[in-house]
Amino acid sequence: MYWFRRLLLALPWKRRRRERELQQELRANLAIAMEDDSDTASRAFGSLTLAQERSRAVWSLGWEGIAQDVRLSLRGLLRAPAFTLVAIASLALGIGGAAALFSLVNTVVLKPLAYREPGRLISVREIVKPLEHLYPTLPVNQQHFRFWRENAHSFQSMASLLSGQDILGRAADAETIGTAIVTAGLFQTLGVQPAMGRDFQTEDEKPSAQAVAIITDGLWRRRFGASPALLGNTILLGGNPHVVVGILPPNFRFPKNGEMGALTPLAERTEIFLPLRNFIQGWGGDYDYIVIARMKPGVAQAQATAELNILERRIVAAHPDASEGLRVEAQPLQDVIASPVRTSLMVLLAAVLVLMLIVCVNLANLLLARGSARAREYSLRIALGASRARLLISALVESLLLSLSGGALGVIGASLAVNTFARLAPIDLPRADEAHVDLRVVAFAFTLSLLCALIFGLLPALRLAKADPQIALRAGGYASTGSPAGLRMREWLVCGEVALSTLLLALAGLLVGSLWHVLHIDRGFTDEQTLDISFMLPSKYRSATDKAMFFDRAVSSFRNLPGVREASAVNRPPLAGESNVNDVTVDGGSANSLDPASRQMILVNDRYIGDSYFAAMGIPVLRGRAFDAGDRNRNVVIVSARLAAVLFPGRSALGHKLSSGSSIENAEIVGIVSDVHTTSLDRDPTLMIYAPFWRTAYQVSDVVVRSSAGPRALENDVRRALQSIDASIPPPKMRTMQELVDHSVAQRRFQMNVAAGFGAAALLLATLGIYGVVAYGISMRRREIGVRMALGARAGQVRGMLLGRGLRPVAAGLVIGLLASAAAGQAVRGLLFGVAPTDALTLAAVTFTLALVATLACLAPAESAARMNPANVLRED
Amino acid sequence: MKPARVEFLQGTLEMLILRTLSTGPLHGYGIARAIGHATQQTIQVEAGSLYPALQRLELQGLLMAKWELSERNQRTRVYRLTAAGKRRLRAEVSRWESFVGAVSQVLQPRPAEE
Repeated sequence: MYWFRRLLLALPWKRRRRERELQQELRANLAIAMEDDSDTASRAFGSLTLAQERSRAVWSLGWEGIAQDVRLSLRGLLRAPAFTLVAIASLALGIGGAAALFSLVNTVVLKPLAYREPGRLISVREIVKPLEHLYPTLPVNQQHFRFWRENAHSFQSMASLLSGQDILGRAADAETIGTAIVTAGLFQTLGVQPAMGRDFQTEDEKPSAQAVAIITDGLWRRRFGASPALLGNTILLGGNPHVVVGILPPNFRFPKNGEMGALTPLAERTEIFLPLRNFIQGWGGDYDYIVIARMKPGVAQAQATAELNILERRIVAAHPDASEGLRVEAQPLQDVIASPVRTSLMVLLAAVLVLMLIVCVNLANLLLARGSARAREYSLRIALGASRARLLISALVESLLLSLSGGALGVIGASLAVNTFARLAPIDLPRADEAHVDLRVVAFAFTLSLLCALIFGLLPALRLAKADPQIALRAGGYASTGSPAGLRMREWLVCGEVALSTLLLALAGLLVGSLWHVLHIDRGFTDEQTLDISFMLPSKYRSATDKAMFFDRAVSSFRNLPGVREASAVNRPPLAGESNVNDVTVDGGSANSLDPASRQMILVNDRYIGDSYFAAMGIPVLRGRAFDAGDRNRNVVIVSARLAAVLFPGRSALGHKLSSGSSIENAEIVGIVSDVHTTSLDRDPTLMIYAPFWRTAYQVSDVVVRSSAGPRALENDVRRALQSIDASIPPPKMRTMQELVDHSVAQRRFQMNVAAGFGAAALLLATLGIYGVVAYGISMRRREIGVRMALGARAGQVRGMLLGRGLRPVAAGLVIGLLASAAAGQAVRGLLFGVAPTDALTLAAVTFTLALVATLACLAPAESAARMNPANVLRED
Repeated sequence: MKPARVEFLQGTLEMLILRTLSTGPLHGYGIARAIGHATQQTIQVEAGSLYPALQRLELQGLLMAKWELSERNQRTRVYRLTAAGKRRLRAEVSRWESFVGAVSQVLQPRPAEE
């Protein structure tokens, strides 16, 4: 009640009424006192003005003082526009950068998936013992999934899915669309309902059922003009009619390629969902399906995993073809999607906070410098009786004003920049397109601003509030410009600033080094001037012969295009991921080949290629020969160098025979080629078998073309050539190999760019800090320097002395920073490639850069001091 | 700023006001006069202390004020105790008594214990 009444009195009109009442009351009481005729009493009654003033203090909430401080601070800041601008701009940059990065972290890592109750969603994968050394976990076998779905009690629902792509439409307006083939419960599991129409039902899974499809809102708008009439009508997919039974809501999001873990290719944009109607019936192998499950409320993940493991044991016991020691691994869906980038984002967030700290230290330094100019004002206020607590608050109000306006600007900047930021970010950053500045980001930035104000404002404020009332007054008209203690404090700040900058520069250096190593690794192919053309053939190309004939025609017509040197078909180019992963047996043996070192099963990637693939890709043939036109009817293969070494250690692989999967049987090894990176440049190359494509053409989808004309110029020619072969083929997807390389290092490059930007900003701030402090130190010692020079000190000696003093805190900061970098390097070890966390070259380069910049920053003021005329200096006072 | 005068013990003036009003409603000057009268002018309450104290007590809900006519037919603000004010007065008085008792024990130690 009391506080409520007091708060009411903060309302201006209530307050005014109260004032009026008090005045009337006082006047009335004075009249009574006068009439009381004892004028001693009325005199003793005392000052009515005092009564009014003290009453006001009773009503006041103490805001008036603060408001006055705000007014004073604002006036002070406006009087020093350069300082204010620098302070607000650096704070805006720091807080804005942190807010932008935080909004990415917020969306990608912290915010639950945009599905209903995302905490209960898990991704399930299988652990298959013989393959565990190569793939710790695999997607799921469909029979296993069905067994779980029937028998497990921990789940409300579960679903499996497989990615695909297909041709939508016919002839001229055909386009290739990313699809997902799903079991009926997918949308129910995700907690999503079609905005129009119905969900899949179990009947849709029957092979005899009518072909149906559910499409995304985006596709519906883009291709069908958002016509409600589409529902119940058919669309042509892969040449077959499908009835559209549902359209998903606009906010539906589906994972992209790379987001669901190894060996689960997904389209960049999945737009059509189809029910899974037939699948390979085996209980072993075919680990292909992504499984997402929704646990029942109250069921723990460990409990659900345990139940699935029991079911796995029952599968192994009942089915001889199931693999021994089968287990599952469950992970929260959110972690699966976020984990590949979590470390990277967290490191960048930590880096931006370090940068923020440097900004604060720099500002503390500036404020201290300003403080020495304002010491007179403060000591005067102390002399006039202001309490030190009150002065502390006054000084902090200024910092708060700066940091809050910087923070506000920063948040505005971040909300404008975050979209660009997300677009510049690597394509692999999951859900980056959903990042935006929301309340949580604003709260983060606000807290950060308050924290900043405390960090950079407290030290200078404490010093100001401690100002000795006498010193300033005694110093006469000229306020003392500083004290040795103030200089020492500022030198400590420089030391801290240098240490933090060292840390950021070292991080940037390590990331630059990592990217350099990744880009300069022997990737096994040349990316210059090579274009990959990926086809989606209409369903009329059904048999291997049909496809082989198409690819023969395509390759020979591409070869005749201007500038083209080589062209060849392949089922998947380098760096496009693993595919056709199979076991391998040698020389007609019955058992799978084992790795001689680990005694575990070997898995290889099979590639089906045309006869000039190695020439087109620039993959060197190390021994034996490449394929030629005569190999069409021969049963031959070529292996990668690593595979040859694993299968035939110490012997020549040439002439031996091997089998792999169902397509390669007892084929003779005729050549050995260089290893090629399959998944990304920073992962080891996979083991490879290359076979001529003619007999397995149904697998083939790409043509690679090497041209001296430059790959981009080629694209139009390719499209035209394709029209004359078959106009019904939808436009193929074309990528240069350079693009594939760029894509593979995009995340690393993003990381490096951000860290390098932070490093550069840190260096700039540190330089400013060092310069400021050295110049300040010298201004304090002008008289002393003048005396020294008058007594015969040479300019060189003075310069050396000032330089030594200026570099002292820098050296200390460097040492601390290098130690911290060594520790921080360990923390980011997972992001590094080819450089040790304490890479000597990087640390030496950082040390050299900082030392050089610091020396330059010291030299400028030292030089001007060394050149001054002692006579003038001594006459100054 | 003026040098501060010797102040009442914290809260003492408030207690005196509550006690004075416990006999009946009064206006501000009336309260000061009553306290001065009761202490033979030993305690002279000044306006600078009295009115802020009244404001404080009113904000705390211990007093209620109304514009009324005084004994000489002048419109003035008249204060009276609320129920909460009466409770607070009892508490303050007993606190005060035990405080005074304790202080006098220190000031006049019993000779028997020497």
